Amino acid sequence: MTPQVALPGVEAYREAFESIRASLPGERGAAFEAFAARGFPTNRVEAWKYTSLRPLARQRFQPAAPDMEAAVTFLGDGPRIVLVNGFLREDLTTVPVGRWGGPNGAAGAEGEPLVALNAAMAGDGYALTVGEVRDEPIEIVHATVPGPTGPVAQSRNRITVEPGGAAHVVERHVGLGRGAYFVNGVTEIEVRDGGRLRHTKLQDEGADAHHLWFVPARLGRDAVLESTVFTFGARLSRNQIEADIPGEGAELSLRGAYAVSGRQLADHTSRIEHRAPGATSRQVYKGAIGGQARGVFQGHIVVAEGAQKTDGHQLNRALLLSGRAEIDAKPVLEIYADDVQCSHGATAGDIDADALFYLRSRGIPADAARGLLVRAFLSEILEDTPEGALRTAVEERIDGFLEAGA
Amino acid sequence: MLEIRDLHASVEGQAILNGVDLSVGPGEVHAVMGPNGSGKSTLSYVLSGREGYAVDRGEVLYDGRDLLELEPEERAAAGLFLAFQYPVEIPGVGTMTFLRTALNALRRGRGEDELDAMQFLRVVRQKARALGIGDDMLKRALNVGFSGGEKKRNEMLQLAILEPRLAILDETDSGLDIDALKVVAEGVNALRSPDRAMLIITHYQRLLDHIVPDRVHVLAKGRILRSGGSELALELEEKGYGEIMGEAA
Repeated sequence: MTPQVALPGVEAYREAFESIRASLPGERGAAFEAFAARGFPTNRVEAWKYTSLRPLARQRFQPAAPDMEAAVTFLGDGPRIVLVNGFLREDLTTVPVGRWGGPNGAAGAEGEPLVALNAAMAGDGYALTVGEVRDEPIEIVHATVPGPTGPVAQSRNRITVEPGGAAHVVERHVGLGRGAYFVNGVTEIEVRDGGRLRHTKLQDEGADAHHLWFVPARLGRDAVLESTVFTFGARLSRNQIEADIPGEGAELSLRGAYAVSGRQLADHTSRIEHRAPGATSRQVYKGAIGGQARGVFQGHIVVAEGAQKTDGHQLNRALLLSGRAEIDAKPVLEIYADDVQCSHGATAGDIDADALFYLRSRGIPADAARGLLVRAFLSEILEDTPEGALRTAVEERIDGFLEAGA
Repeated sequence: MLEIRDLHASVEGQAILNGVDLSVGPGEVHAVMGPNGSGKSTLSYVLSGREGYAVDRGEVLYDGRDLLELEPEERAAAGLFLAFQYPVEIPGVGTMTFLRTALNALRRGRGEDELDAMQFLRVVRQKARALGIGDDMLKRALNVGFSGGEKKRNEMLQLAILEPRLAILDETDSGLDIDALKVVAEGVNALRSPDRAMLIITHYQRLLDHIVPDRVHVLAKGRILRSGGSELALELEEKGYGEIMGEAA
């Protein structure tokens, strides 16, 4: 054994943690030590093989402070929950919510170092409980104000859907102004027996942001969770969903569309654990990757012993729009039951030359023809998003991506 | 209008066209007939600018301009149209979106105003009806799930909407039953005009029963071996390509 060198990021974050520790609700020491024992993952850690956080760990960030002044814009006029710099803005929030009060003892068991860091340092977060059928989508804005010190915003949020409850929540992540910042957030989702949740995420962070978001989800009997993520912003982002399905007959759908260029990295990682019989999971991720950008997809499906009649499928497709664009895909199926239907598929390639020629032969200029084909490729993920501000926002981001000459 | 002179072309280093000469004037309808592997499709792709087809010698003039140095979309803007033998299925692109994007791109190129959604709908509906194309087909993604005949009719709809000056029809009759063939032929005949030329590429003579050409050319082994009037098509049907090719050899 070589002598232990300092783990990435630990010393800087210890200093930051100590500086705010007294102001945080709950006891945080165990959570911080859980982080400190491992530090920021580098690509020597299997789960982070394609997304190294070493450069991020070297950057200095100061814990973001509440900002009660920042102006936030919204997609719609419906009910909303607003957080700025990871702190709830009660003046802008129109839905009754609880707030996170700190870890309750078990934080040391956090499996992911960054989730442990979040448990140690998160100062706030919303807790939404849905007990009835809510027709109007709830817009949740996570806004961060970049600053000269490069703030790190960490919030810990929770959505609980009670039996008989149903809702659509839209979590939007934006930066308010230019500059670097780091977002390390968690949204826990629990859909109890027979509940239904549509969860849409629009990651539209600033160009110099780092965005890591972890979504542990749990589905009860006959629960339905449809989660769709649209990823456009941030220099580096990771959307990680870990779904635990102990409920018989539950239905999980994970979909994602992303468009990245320049030197962006967009990582979509999922792990689904089927622990009860007769549940289904569907995953479709599609990405358009230009410039020297990289996409990462890691999809892991576990079917536990006894989870018979599980129906689990995942598909990852990437469109590589330049010779230097890259996709790393790692699907894993781990099956311990014998009567299941599971599959995975992955494709990566350039725009279809025949389709491109067909469009151009009709007078559509090459750039416009490419644009049509990229939009068409991503449109499958947008299918179930109705006409409206959210859909328009996503389409505008795709247009912006294409206009920038991805 | 179209002057092809000593055209030699190859695909992946293999010579396919070995000196094609062909001249089509405004308002004329020419048929290029030939057996499989004679270079018919290569000729249509070279004219429309598909990648992967290398021109080794010769020239193609379109209204006196060098056609071969134009991009595919520039050729379309100049009035060239290829009706594909195998129209491409494009999931996620609506047929209407495609038609409107194409028409407006051409209109912009011609310095005309773009059509708004309502104006466009009227144009498409009227032309679609004439070709027996229903609204349900227009609502689908481009060519996705279309039968062979539907794809060909969709090509004819594009021809009718885009109103090219030189239309190349590549094996338009393949995959069509006799009723669909008549509908397509009527559509093509309706577009015949003194300033629109057509090049009909076909293996069989049956389409030429309905669209009577001014000239017929026999393409074999990458060259035009014989040219004649519309009666040449009937002679080919009777004697087969073997005899004609034998005569010329």
